[in-house]
Amino acid sequence: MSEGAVTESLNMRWAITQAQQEEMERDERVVLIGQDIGPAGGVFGLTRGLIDQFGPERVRDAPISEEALANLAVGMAINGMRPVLEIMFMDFIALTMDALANQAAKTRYLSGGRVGAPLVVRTLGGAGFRIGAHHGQSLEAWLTHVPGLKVIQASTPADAKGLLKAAIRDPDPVVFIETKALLGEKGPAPAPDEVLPIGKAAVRRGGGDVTIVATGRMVPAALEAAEGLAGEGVEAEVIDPRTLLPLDVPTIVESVAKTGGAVVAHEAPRSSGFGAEIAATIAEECLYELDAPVRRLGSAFAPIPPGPAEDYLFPTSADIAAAAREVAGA
Amino acid sequence: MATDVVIAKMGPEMESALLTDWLVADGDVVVEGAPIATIETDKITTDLEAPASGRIRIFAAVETECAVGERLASILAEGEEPAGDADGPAPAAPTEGEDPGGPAPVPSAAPLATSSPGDGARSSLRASPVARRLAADRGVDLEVLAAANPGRPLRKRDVLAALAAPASAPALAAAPSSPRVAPPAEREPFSPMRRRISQRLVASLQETAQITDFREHDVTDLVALRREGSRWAKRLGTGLSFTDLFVRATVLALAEVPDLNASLEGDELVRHGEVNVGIAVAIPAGLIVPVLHGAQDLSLGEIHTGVAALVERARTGSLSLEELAGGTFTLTNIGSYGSQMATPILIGGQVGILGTGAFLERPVVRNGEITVGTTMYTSLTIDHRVVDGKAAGDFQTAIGALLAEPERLL
Repeated sequence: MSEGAVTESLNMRWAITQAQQEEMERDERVVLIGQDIGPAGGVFGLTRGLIDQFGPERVRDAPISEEALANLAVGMAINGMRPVLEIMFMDFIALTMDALANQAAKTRYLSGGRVGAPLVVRTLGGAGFRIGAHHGQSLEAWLTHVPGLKVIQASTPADAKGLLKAAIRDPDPVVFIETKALLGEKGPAPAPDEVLPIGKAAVRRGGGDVTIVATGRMVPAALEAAEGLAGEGVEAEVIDPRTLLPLDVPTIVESVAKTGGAVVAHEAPRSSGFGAEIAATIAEECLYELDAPVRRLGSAFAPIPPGPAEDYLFPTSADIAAAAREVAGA
Repeated sequence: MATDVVIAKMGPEMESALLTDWLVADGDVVVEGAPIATIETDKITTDLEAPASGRIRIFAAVETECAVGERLASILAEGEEPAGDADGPAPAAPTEGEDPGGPAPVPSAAPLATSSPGDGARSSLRASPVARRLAADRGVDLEVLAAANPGRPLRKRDVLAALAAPASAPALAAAPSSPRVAPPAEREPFSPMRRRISQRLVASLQETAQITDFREHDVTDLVALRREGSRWAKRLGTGLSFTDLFVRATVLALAEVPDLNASLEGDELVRHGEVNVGIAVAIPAGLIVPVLHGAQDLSLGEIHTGVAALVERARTGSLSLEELAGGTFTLTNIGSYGSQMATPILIGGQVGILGTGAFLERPVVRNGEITVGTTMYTSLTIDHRVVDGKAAGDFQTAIGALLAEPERLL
């Protein structure tokens, strides 16, 4: 973990660790809380080495009680600390919801703007590891429904690093979703100490025929679909919102106004998924530009089955391509 | 008690009919037996008569395809309230005091595709929002575009193409000196009858293996016989046309080649006992093929009477559905418009159709000498799935022999 050793390529795991390390070095109020994040380095290895550098006071291994940890983090945040809480599997965020939705998210409002709760919940969402119904859900829509929270879901290492740093510096609570299936992703490294703005989408690929708005694991799937479509003469524009709350509406609207159609893809179940928010926004803002109905893709409305059966639950790049083809009228 | 107006089954093959027009308005008082609507099947256009007297409540919109048995309207006895109906669209009860004589809109439960002007009903036209906006801004008629692009919603590119179309006629755009204004294209909707014809013919060509066999025949004697026979027939108050002779020749030739008086039904080849000869008749709306049933049992005189009646009823649009069904072989007189050869398309699952060409004054060789004679071509299309070229050749030979020795037709 040599300081400033920014290579050309960065992997997702290291990006997340680096962001925490750099922010802890920059601001001593930043502390980590979580299960097995200390000597074990986190079950996904995302805090590896940090206890050695910052000690057990700032890298705090915690018991298995997400509810207690979340309330601890809220209290610390209100009292001036910058806690970063790791919820190992997003499924367990259910246990933190009172602290997040009723306390942290409302602190700013209830204090008349004087007190914030600048905590970050890092949590690992999404499937891909075939570990069943309790370890692979994508629950972002629970969180994007809560005023006062910010929700980030990055799909590249550079974005993960830049946005996690931004989340830690944000004066209000941020849920930072790390997509398990993308932990092995490699990508270009950002400039040292680069902080990305929260609430700004990335256009991953330009195109004029159809817009694909994809989050998390669906971003690489959408890019793969777009490459295939290009061979058929259909140019898809792929947008990664990166921040779900607040959503970068102008980037999406501008794209759909250009292409006349949109496909929205995420890993969470389609019904009442965050894609519904995007689709509805497109309908509100771009109806008179639409040349085809907006198509939403998400997982089947079912618990995630154990073992290889889970592979059939989620949209594939072929599904995205088919939907995009239909929307583009190709 | 309300009497329902339904589409009755008018022939064994009939499944539905197109409601082309209401002759009465919703709420009108109708009299039993009076025509109230026109319907069109793929074979016939006919009036629908009121099955009872009373006040009519209309449910079905014009230009909708209605299944046999489907309720189009109800006729209520005077003072009767329309009743709800579990298996049909229930009309809204008329409001007390409302003038029941005025034309009320088709109830909203009815199909939306009504095109009666000014009734505010939703259009069935499907177009994307951007296509609608563009069309409205640029004055493009979406109805016309929809007619040109059936079966799918209109998209932006359709409107853009319509806008680009006049300008993209390059020859016109390139002539700079005096820009010529192209005369506007005339557009008319593809009529239901033409739609039916096109569906049938395309299906026939897609589903069968059609080959057409051409043969030239010496019909010098046939022409003479007809001239003589015609004079003779007139004295008896009847007539004799070439069509009559061709029907008779066909009947006799089919007796020699029964494989052509057949149809393929599933995995079975059905050789029909009866010879029901379809006769293609041109009418202003298109082409219609009435059928002379049981032609094998008819004398030439009976054939004449039957054919003349069918042609007359075809031209006046008064054929019954029975007269349009059941053909086993078809004749089409391509010579009527001067053509010599054609490739007729099989219809109705039949295995053969014979086109008779125009008569031609030609040098013919008889007994080793060239003389002036009359010839004609017959164009026989067969379904090669069912029979082979030899059957076509045998039939042509048989027909040729009959036409060359026409006394055999008497």
